[in-house]
Amino acid sequence: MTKRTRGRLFTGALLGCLVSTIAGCDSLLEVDLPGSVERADLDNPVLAATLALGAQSDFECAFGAWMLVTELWTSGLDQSSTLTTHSTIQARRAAVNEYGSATCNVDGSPLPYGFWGPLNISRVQAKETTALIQGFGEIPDAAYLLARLAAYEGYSTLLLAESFCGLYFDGGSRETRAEGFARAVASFTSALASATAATPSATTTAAQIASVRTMALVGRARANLNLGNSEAVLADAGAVTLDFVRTVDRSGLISFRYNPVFFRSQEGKAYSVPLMYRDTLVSGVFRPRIGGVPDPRVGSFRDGFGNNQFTPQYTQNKYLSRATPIPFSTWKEAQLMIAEVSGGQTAVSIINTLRARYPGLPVFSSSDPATIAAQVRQERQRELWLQGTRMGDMLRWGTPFPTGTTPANQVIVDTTPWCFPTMEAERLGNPNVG
Amino acid sequence: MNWPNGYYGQAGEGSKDIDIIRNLNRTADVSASATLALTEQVGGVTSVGLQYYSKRQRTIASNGDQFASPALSTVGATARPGSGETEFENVTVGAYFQQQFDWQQRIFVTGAVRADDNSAFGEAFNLVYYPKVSATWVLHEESFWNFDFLGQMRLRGAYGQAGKQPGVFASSRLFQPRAGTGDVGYLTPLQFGNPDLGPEKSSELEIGFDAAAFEDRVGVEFTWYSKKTQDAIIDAPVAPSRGYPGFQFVNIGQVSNWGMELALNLAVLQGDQLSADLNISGGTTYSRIDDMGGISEIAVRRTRRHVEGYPLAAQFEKKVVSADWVTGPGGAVSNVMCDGGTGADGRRMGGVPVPCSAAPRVWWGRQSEPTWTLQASPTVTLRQNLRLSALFYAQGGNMVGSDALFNAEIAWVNTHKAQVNDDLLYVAQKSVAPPALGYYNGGYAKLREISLSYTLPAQLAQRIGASQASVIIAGRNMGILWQEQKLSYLAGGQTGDPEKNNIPTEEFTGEPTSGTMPPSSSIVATVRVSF
Repeated sequence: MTKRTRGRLFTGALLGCLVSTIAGCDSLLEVDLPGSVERADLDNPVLAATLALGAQSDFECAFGAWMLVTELWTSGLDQSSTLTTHSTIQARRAAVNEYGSATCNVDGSPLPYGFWGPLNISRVQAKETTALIQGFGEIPDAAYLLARLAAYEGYSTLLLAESFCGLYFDGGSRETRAEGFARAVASFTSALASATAATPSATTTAAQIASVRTMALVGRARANLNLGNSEAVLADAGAVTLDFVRTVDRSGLISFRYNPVFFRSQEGKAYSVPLMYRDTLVSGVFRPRIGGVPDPRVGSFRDGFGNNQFTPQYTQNKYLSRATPIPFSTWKEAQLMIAEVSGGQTAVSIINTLRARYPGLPVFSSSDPATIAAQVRQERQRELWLQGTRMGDMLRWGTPFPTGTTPANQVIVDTTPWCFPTMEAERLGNPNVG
Repeated sequence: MNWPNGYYGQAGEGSKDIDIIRNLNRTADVSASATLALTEQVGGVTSVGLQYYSKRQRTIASNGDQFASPALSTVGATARPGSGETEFENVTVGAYFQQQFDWQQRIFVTGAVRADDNSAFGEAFNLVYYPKVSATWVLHEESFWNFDFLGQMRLRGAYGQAGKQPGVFASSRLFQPRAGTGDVGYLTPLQFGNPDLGPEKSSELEIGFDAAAFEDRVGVEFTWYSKKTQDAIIDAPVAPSRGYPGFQFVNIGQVSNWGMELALNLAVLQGDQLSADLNISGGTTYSRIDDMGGISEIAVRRTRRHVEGYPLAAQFEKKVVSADWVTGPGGAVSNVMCDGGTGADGRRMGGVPVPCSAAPRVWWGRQSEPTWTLQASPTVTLRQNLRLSALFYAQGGNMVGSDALFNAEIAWVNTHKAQVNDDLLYVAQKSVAPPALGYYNGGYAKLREISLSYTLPAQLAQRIGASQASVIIAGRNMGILWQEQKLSYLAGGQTGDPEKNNIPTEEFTGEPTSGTMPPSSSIVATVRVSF
């Protein structure tokens, strides 16, 4: 065989290899991704409980960040840090709209204080998981899981409607707060229907079902309170069991699941309790007065200076560890909703029932409707302190938001409306945003 | 001192992070070429090739904080140890065919085509093809060439297509594990994904020439280029209301880049005892987004935006033009008016003032990346042993948006203006659109290097058994010769070393390397010995 022939044969073999290799490209391109899960892999009935837990967990993460932001925005807590995010929030600058895609990781990794994105994540994941589970057919605890998902979808929607001036769902057009509250009512109604259909099993107790059901009652009552549907509020709030409490679970082990108020106040010295909660000092604890006496429901202690080294630090004493859970759906709130809607001596009776649980608080009495209404508001402010109700209450009552200069020397931009503006991330990613 | 969480670990009791990164890159490259003499005047070279590239990276991380005692140092000895693992893989397979023809070794024409496939392509995409054609004409070899002073002249032109692959799994909708209620693991959204994601394709035309004159004492290289990128892969923000975080990679529209490059090499003096050379090179580069596929704008970072009709990742922000004090200097402002924008899209500066709440984010007039660069390198050689050379570098035409200057006004509040708050426009801008406080024009010139080298005479080198020896003393980054703007526009903050601030690195994100430190000044002494 000549050299030329060998050369031609070699060239031909090489071209043949090329052709066959290109034809087999697809198998060469298969890669693994062991650290993540693709959407198609979730279509597995075995994952139903995990997926439902996911929606709840997403809500709990979102709630912590949202609550902190609403407290700062309304000066329910004062900034005592150097962080730009805190300045922007408490000074109510327009730039707060840049936090739309921030995360809810309270340990600050990456940029925390997301109060639009995370609530939408929990809302959509609850909705999508509902569709998944409904597609699984007959699986254990399906009704309970669906009730739980609908209840957390309802709360996610409720908090968004309480705090944002305009709402966007799933990349759609702008909706009003009233439309948002109506969506929340629909979710809670679905939750109640599913909870009614749920039965205890080896993995789900009657108490768990009852908890989800009662949570949906409180949530629907709160949504209807914002819609002005008094009868619906009375019906649902009146059905809430005595001393019911549903909490946002927190962790002492995992940094992004710490109680954010404790973590950022006691440990980070980034938030301080404002003057309106510090009328008296008793045994080293500052408290506001109520009926002339220190109110035990709200307290703080002097702890040097804040993280910014010049704002006096008054650290809250409601949440005392990283793992302290945060109540967000309670019998007490239901009672105060009844008081707000009913007014009169019904409200007075409720106020005193709640006060009786705290030794030393005086009995309240009045027959003046305006005085009673004002007292109901103050009771809500104290009883539900740092539980995520402040901003919704202020907007519902038309209470003017704070102005002036913050203790961190930031001039507050006082523009109306006081609800949150449309997030820049939504405007950029949603063509329906004007 | 109560350090915030994160500084030196929890409560200042220390922390430790260990990352073990394993990269496995596999490459197979097979090619063959054949040279053919088709006729006496026409020759050709045929080339084919196949490439396989696989990248696999695995990272194992462990970390912990709160050491009970300074004597402890392992991660396991911390109060809160943790761990993590990530892994990703990407594979590209490609093949090419190239054919070159030449006519009397004076005119060269080359055509080629390349095909690629990648594991990151969306489900709807398979192979991508990239053609290329180029031509070179060696003019000085032609019979009609009779410019004696111009000893070399070569015209060249090329047109070709290239592509950029999307990141691994960029097209997939993904969920990640996380600890949730009860510290139990669950799955949360990680990425929205895009099943239609494909590669971006760019087409580039280059025209230029290489010339040498006066017996090669003057050399010139010039290239003009124009590049258009179709289906550019861009991070488009996912509307948070859709329930997924972050961005979605999309192929959209068209981006144009153009500019020119010029290099001039001058042998100023050529003598045995003294010679001097001067090399000057420079170029311009411009970008423009021609088509965004219907998307009005894409946020890149803070106030950088991709907007149709403007350069990539340009600065867009509201500009305050007037305001009033409510009570007096140092207090609040009211009646704050901003530039209302002008131009076809109303986003160019120079519009009628409007209330800032209704004002658009206007373009601040410059690219984020430099539009021109210039480099000059003179060299003087004495008696072929002693050489003095220098390197000057300059760039400009861009606008910088500095996070450091912005934070000095907002977060740290440690500038004069921030403390006094008596500048009306400054206070008004700060209340409406504070990122603009960090803007300034980024042009600068630096003496990059000055060096003196001495090559020992051969006899001296041989005394130590060396064939060659030299000593070099060089000073690097010796100083800023010129700064276009030393104080930022509104805040009057010192801009400092222009290389310490945001320097875009990614082509289509303009993503700055925030916090980049400038190259430090240094004096380096080097001894080189060859045996």
